[in-house]
Amino acid sequence: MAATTIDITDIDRIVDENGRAPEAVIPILQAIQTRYRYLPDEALKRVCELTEITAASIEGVASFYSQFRRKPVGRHMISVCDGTACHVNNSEDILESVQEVLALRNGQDTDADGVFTLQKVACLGCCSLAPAIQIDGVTYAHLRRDTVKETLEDFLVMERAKKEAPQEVQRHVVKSGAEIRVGLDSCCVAGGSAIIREALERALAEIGSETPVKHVSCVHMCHQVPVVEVVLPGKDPALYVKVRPEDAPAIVARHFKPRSALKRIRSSATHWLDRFYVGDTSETKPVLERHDGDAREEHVSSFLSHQRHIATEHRGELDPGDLDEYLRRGGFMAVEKCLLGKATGAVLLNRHRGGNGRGPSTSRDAWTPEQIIEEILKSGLRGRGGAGFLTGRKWQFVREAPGDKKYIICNGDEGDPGAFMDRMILESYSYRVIEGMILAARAVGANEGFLYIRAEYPLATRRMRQAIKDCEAAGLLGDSILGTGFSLHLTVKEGAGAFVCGEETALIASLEGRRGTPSIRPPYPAQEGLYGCPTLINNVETFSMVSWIIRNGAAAFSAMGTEKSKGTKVFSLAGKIKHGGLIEVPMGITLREIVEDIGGGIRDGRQFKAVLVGGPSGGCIPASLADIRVDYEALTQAGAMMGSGGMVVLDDSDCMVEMARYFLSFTQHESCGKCVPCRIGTKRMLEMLTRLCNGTAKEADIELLEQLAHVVKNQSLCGLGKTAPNPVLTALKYFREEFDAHVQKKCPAGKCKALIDFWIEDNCIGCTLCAQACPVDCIVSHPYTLHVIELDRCTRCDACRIACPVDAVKSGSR
Amino acid sequence: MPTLTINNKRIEVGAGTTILQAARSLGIEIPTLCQWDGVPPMNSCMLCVVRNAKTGQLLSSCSSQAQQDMEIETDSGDVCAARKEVLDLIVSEHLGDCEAPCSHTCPASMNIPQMMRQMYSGDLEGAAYTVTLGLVFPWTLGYVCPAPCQNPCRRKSYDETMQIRDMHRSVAEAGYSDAPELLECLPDTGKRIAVVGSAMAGMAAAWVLRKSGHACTIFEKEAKAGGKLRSLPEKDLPNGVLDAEIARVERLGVEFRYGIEVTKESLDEIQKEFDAVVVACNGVAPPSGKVFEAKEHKLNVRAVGNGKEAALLVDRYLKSMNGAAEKHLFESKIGRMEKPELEVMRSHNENREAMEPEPVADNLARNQTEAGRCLHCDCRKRTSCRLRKWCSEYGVEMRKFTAAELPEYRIIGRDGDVIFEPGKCIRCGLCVAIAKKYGEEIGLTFIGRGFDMDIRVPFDEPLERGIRESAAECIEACPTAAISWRNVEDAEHCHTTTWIEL
Repeated sequence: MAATTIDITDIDRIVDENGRAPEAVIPILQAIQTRYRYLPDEALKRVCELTEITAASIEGVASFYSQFRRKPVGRHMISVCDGTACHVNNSEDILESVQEVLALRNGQDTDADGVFTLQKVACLGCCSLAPAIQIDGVTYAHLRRDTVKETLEDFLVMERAKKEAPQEVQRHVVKSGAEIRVGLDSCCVAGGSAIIREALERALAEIGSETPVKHVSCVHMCHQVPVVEVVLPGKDPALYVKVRPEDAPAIVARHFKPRSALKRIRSSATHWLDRFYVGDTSETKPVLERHDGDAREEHVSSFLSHQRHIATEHRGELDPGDLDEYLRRGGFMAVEKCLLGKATGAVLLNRHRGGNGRGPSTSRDAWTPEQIIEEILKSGLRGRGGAGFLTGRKWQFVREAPGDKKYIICNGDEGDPGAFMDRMILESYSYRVIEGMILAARAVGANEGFLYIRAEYPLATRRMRQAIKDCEAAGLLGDSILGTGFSLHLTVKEGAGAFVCGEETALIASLEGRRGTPSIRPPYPAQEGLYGCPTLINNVETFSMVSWIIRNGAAAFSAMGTEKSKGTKVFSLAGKIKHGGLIEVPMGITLREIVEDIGGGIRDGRQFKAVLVGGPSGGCIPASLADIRVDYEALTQAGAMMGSGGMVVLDDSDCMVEMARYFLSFTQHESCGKCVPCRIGTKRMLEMLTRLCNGTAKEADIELLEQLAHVVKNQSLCGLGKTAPNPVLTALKYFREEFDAHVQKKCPAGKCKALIDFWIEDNCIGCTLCAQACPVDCIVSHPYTLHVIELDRCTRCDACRIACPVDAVKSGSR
Repeated sequence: MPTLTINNKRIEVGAGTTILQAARSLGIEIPTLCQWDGVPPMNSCMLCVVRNAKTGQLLSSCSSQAQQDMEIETDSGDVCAARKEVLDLIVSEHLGDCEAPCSHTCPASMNIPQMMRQMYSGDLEGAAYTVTLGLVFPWTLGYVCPAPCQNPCRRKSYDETMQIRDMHRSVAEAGYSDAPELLECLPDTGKRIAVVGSAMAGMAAAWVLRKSGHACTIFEKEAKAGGKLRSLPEKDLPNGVLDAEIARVERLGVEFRYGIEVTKESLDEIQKEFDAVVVACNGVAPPSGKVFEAKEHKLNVRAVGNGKEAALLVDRYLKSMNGAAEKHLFESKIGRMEKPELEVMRSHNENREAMEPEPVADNLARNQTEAGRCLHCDCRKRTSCRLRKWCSEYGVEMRKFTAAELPEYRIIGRDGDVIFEPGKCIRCGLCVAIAKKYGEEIGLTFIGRGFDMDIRVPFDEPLERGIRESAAECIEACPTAAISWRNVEDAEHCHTTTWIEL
C-alpha cells in the first residue's frame, strides 16, 4: 500500500496538545497513529524538529511498544486473540483460517485489496467468549474454523448498513423504581450488550414505557453474557442470560404493560420468548456468536455463593458512571472517615445542596497518615499484582522516604493472557480505585498520581478519565480535598502495548517516555521512583480493597483468608470449565472448590487435568493437587504463583508440553531484551519446546531445557524473566512423562499437530462432507465408500473431524 | 559508609559504591562486558554476577550497591557456573569468525589475512615479519606445502581461492625475510635448551625458543639440517631455498651440533647439561619431566606447528607456569556462508580499487594486487574482544545451545571508516549510551524489543552520521567487534586494549 502523505500542520497541532518534553513521546505517537493509523517517518521527523524528543528516542520508543505500527495498514483491523483461554480453544486454527480466507501468504498481514490487516493479540480480555476475534472494536465470540468466512462477511455487511442508516435511539428516561440492568463492561459489550441495550430501549419506546435501561458494573457471569436483569419494585429481579437483540421485545412485553390499546394489540402478537429465562433449558444448535442458554438457578447460585465481594462490592448493581449512586452505597465514606474524622455522608449531602464539597471542615478527628498505614498493615493486605508484598509496609517505606515530592501510581497494565480482573475493576468500580488512591496518597504523602492503563483497554481508560473529572467536580480530587488542605491530582496514562511495563521500574520508564525496560532494584521506587522521587506503585485490585478495609476495619478483612494471605482475591476463571467469568473468592478456598463448585466442573464430560494459576508467570497445578488452598505461599511452593489472577482450567485434551510452549512464546515475545538470560535464554527455551512439539527433540534436550530454565529463573534482571520459566518447570515437575513421550514423537493429549495423524474409521458412511471441508483436498472420497485421508498433504487442521456427522474421523498419536 | 566483605576481605566503601567498584579497589577482577566507566550501568550481559553468601542471591555487581554486612563471593563455583551460562547463551547467537578460516586451518596458525593486508598496502617488511613469524620457513613451505589453508578460503566459495602459498613464497623469495628486525630476540634468560633433531619441528621449536631469549642447541645425527626435505628433487624444492632459511635460524643464534646421534642413554647426559630438552625425532624418549616432544610430521607445516607448540610449553615450563591450567583459546566460527552473505563480505572488504589481476611480469607485484581480493574474514578485534577473552577464561564451547536459525551475515556502514556487524552485537547498548553522552544529533538507538532487538541509526541514516564524534569511544567500549574500524591497522590509534598475545 502507498504511504500516506502527511499534513505537517496535523503534527504541529498534536505536539501543541501533548507538549514538547521528552515524556510526551508516547502520547504524541498515539495521537499520530490515531490520525494516520500508522506512524509515518516524516511525521516522526517533524516531531523531532519541534520537541525535545530525539531521533534516537522516538525510533526506540516507537519500535518498543507493540501498539505502534510503522507500516500502513488495511481499512479494518482484525485482532485474533491468543490469550490462554482462546489458545486452549484452538485460536491457532482461527488465525490460520483468517489467513486462508484473506489469502495471506509468507507472513503478509494485509490482504491484496487493503481491506483487512490481521494481527495476533496477546489477549482481548474476554476469555469467557473464547475463541474470540475483534474487528475494529466489534468482538466476535466462539468462532470456529468454518464460521470465520461468514464472520468477516457479516462485519462488512454491518459496516455498510452502519454507513447507510446511522441511527440513535433517543429516549427520555425517568427515574422510578423499575429498571432494566444491562452489563456494560467489555465482556458484556463484546457479548453484544450495547446492541441489546438499544433493542431494549427501542422495545420500551414502542410500548411507551419510560423505564430506564441502566448500565451496571460487571455481573461476573461472563460465560452467560449478555445478561439482562429486570428489576421491578416489590418483585424478585428476573435474570435473563445470553440475550439476543430480537429477544428484547419479548422481555419487555413480559414485564411491562403497553400504555396504549393499539400498542397492546401489537405486542400481543410478539413471540413469547422464555428460552433464555433462567430456569429454562432448551437445547439448540450453537449459532454464530453465541451458544445455547443452559443457565439454571442452581449453577448461578453455586457460581455466586462461594464468593465474597470486596473489590467488586455491589457487583451488578452499580452504574459505573454514577458518582451519586456510589456515594449512596457508602462510597468515599472511607475518605471522609480518614480525612474528616467521621463518615457522615457529607459529600453526598453537599452535592444535593449543590455545593462542590469544599466547605469548611473540622479535621481534629482526622486520621494521621500513620493511622491509615497502621490499619492497612493490620489488615494483612498484600499486593495483588503478583508478588504479594505487604501493602502497609510498602506505604510505610514511601512515607518514610525523604523527599518533598512523592508520586502515587496505579498499575493497570494488566497484560497476562487470560486475565481481565483489573480491566473489569477499572471499568466497573472506577470510583473505588480512586478512593483507594486518595487514601494511599494521604498515607504516603503524595500529591500527584498516575493511572497507567493498558492500551488494549479503551473503555477502562475512558471510564477512569470520566471518574476523575466527576471526583474533581465533587471536590474529591484536586486541590484541598473536602477542604482539608490535602491535594491530589490524578492523570490517566495509556500504555502502548508492552507486557513488561507491568514491572514497576519498567512502568516508570514508560511514564517518563522511555523504552519500557526495567532497572535493577534497589533502589526501589519507594526510594527513587518516578523522576527520581519516592513513588508508591500498587496494583488496581490492591487499591480497590483499601476503602472496604477502612470502612469495615482491618479485623473484618483479616478474618478472611489464611494465616499469611488475608481477604479476598479476584480471579478470571476460564478454560475448560462450564462457567467462566470473574470471581472474587476468600483466600484459602481450594482450587477444587473453584473449579467444581464455582466453575461447575469440566465441560464436555472430559477429565480435569490441571489449573494454570498466575498466567505466564505462574505454573500449572495438577488435578491431584487441586486441594491446595489459594494462598501466596502455598501457590509459590507448588511452583506456581498468585500472579495477577488468571486461572485457566485444562482438561485431558490439553497437552502440557504445548501449554508450556504457548506460555513461553508469550513471555519470549514480551521480553524487553535488556538482559541476556531473558533475551536469549527464553528464545532458546522456546526453540527446545518447539522441537519437542514438532517431534524433532532429542532426549538430552529435556535436561538442557530444565537447566536453562533455572538459568533464566535465577539470573534474569526482572520479574518477567525470573518467572517466565515457571510454566515450563511446573510442567516438567508434574507432567514429565509427557515430555518424554514427545521425544518419542508421541503427544498423549493428541494436540501437537506434527505428532498426530488423522484417519477415518469403518463407521464412515461415505457422505463426502469431510472431503468438502478439507482445505487442501487430501481426502479421497467416493460416495458411499470408506473415505481415506492422504496424510502427506494433510495439515492436521481438524476440519474433517468437525465436519463428520458420525464421528468416524479420528485423530491422535498412533 | 557500608562495610562488607568481598572474598573474605573486609572493606569500607562510600555510600552508593557498587560492588564492582569495591572489588576493583581490592584488586579483585570481576569479568564484565557491558560495563563502561562514564555511562550508567547497562545491566545487560549479567556476566558480572557475584553471590551474596548471606542471602544466596546472585547480584549483578556493576549496578548493585555495596551494603552493610554483605558477604560477597566473586569466584565461587555457582558464580562461575552462572557466568559460563550467560556466555554460552551469548555465543549461541554470535555470528562471527574469531579467526579467518585460512588461519584456523593452517597447522602453524599463520596470520594469513594480516599478511594479505600488509602485502596489499605495500608493507612488504611487515608481511615478511608476519609470514616468518607464522611459518618459520615461509620460502620452503612456499614450495612444499600442500596449502590446506586455501581449501576453506571464503573467497573460494565466492569465486577463486586466494593463492596464499604463492604469496608467502613471493614475499620470502624477494628477500624481505632476511631483514635484521626478524632476528631480534628477547633478552637472554640464561636458560639452555637442547633440541634433538633438525627437521621442520625441531628447527621451528628452536627458532621460537631462541626468540624467547633462551639459548638453543640442536643435535643432528646427519651432517646437515633439514631432515627428509633434503631428499626432495630440485623441481619440487630448488637448491638453496632450504639452506637459506636454515641460515636464518643460525643467524638468530641457534647452535647446530651435527653428527651426534642422541640415544636414550646420551639423553640422560643432555638432560643434566640443559634446562629442558625438546625431542623432535622418533623413538628417543617419551615426554616427561623436562623432556618435551615436537612431533615431526609428513605434512611439513604441521611439523612447524608442532615445533611452535612444543616451544610454548617449554617456555611456560621454564617460567614455572606449568602449574597453571592451560586455557583453551575460544574460537567462534560462522561455518558455511551462502553466496549473498559472501557478496556482503566482498562488497565491504575486497579492496574496491583492486584492478583486474592483469598478468604482471613481476610475481610479487601480481601477488600484491591479488591480496586485495581477501575478504577479511578474521575478526577485527581478535585480540581485544572481551567476549573472546571471557569465553576463553571460562572454557566456553561454541553452540552449547543451538540456535534454530542464525540471522544472515550483515555489515552496516557503507562508506565510512567504521563498520557495524550486527551478528557480533550483544545488544548491551553501550554504543547507544556513549553516542547519547556525546550529544550526537542522530545517535544510535535500539530498534524493536526482545530477542529481535537491533542497534540501528535512527531513520536509517548512515552509520557515520550517527556517531560523528563518538565513534572512537564506541569502538573501544564495544565488548565485541560489532563496531570496529574498517581497517584494523587504524585500531592502533584508538588504544584498543589487547589482552592476548598471539
